[in-house]
Amino acid sequence: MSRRWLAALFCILGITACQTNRAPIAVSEAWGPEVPAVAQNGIFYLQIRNHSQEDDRLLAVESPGCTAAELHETYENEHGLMGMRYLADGLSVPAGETVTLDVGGFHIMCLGKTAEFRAGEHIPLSLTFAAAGELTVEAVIH
Amino acid sequence: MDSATETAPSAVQPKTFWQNKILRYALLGLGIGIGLGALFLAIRPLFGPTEWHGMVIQSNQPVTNFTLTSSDGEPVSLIDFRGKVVMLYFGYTFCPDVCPATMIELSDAMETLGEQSEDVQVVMITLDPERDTPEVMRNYVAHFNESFMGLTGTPEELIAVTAPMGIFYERHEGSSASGYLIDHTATVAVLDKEGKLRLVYPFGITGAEMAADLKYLVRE
Repeated sequence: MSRRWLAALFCILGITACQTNRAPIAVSEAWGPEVPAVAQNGIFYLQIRNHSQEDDRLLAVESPGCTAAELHETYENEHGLMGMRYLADGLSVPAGETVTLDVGGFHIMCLGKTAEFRAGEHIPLSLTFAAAGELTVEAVIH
Repeated sequence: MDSATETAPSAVQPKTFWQNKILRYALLGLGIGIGLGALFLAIRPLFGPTEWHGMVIQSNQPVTNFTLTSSDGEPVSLIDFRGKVVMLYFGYTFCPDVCPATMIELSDAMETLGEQSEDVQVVMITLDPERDTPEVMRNYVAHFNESFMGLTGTPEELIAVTAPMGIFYERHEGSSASGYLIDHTATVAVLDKEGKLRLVYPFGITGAEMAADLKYLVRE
């Protein structure tokens, strides 16, 4: 066996080993903008990467900083009106893909915020996935 | 003397660079071209931006005056801002995504403008008078910039203000936790010092882009 083939084999073994050890779902860059104290709600954005071979779905979000947290999507209708809709069926995270929640798109709406959305604060978020189960992250306010 | 060894007469010698008439004129032309170009670039900003960032509106008439309630509970009319560039944004404080994102960009624009921002008034008008009392509006807009003004009105007053400006909105029920939400036109309208509608920015405009346009409008 040539050296090149050996290297390729190790490479494949290495990747496979990584995938079995790595969590199927990785959530990163969880953040929220500063929000006026008087505003009733806050908002969180983050990135979800599905490392597994199976499609997954973010079903629910909870946070001690919110009375209720909901998955929402900002949309623009055919008349140019912008609005938000509640994603009752959750958010699909296909195998091998990254789904980004960002301004003007998918987001986690923090209804009846109880935490201060001030720069530097960390607010815990608990995300429930259909396959991967529960995952906890901290959103940084900035 | 052997004539064959003499050098060729000077008339047949190749011309030096500076003796070549065509080259001299070409160089002169190039110089004039560069000079004019530089002059044009130097005075270009005096005539306005090469490109406005929003949708450009041509209007002969100032926007119809309206009177709403200020955050102090006092009446405020659009005409009170004559002499300032006015940026109107219609939204509601319950909205966590689009509205605060736009307010942050407006605040960035003011910071970028520095002293010139004194000639700009940002006004946020609520489309949700049920939740947004004058006090809520005051605290909400002040978070983004102390100079921002928040206005409220009755539902009838708000329809009278928004419809002529092409701002539309409608309520729809959200979840049990959120209660009603409001779909709305999320643009920013820019009125010049005479109160004429000049630019409309779509959602997603940045503070830097707005500041680049405002720089010219405040000088008019």
